Amino acid sequence: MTNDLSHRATGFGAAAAAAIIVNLLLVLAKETSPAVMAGMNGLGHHWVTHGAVVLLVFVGLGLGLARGGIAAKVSAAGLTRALIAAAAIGGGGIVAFYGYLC
Amino acid sequence: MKDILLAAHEIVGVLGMLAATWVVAELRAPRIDQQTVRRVSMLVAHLIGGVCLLGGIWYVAYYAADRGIILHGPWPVAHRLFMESKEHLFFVPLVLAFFLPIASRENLLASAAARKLTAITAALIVITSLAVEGGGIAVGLGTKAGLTQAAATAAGKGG
Repeated sequence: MTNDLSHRATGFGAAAAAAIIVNLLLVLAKETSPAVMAGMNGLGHHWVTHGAVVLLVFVGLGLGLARGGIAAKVSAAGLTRALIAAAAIGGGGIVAFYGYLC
Repeated sequence: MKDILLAAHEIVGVLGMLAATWVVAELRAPRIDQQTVRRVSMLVAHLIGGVCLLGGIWYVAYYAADRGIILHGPWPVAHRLFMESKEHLFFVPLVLAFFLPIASRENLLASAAARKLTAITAALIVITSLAVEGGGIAVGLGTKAGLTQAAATAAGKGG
């Protein structure tokens, strides 16, 4: 396993992949659970709450992973593959889910 | 104000996509200008962040009227599939755009892995932003179809 990326780039890259998957999970949760949707609307508009959660996951997890020395545990190639997979699953999953609801 | 916000978020989004394409092209050049990649990556983050602000205000404050027109029109799928997908899919390029300046701070001249990560992040921004823009076009067509149907109904009643 080789990784000449910094802890910061590796940590925030992994956090970006995680935030994209959290984005999909939030869509599934709020569209299938009226209680979750009501809770997200209770904090303002559900879309604003949704975006705030996704960005908090990205920043919070990124800082945590960067400080935890993640670059020694993840390869650069693995990180790049994870980002591609997250974008494909996170993006495609949202479109497929709303297509299914139609 | 509503139409200015709508147009501005689309224009800024296209500029963000173009800037991300620039990052990909710069990283494919025979001699990479690291400073340019970093500056344009920061520009991408600001532009896509700006889209979030402009589009977010429009969506939260003004979209309800358009949604009503679409859902009562002949093409409700423009909201149920395209708008619902677009408003959530947008967070993918947003997160990637905020990550891009971090990736571009790596040593792009020495590290092939850093170049690849930065280029792929920028390419994913372009691809997902294109999908979001496509959704926006569908939403616009759905609104137009709804208004056309309402106008035709009104004209039929009047005639």
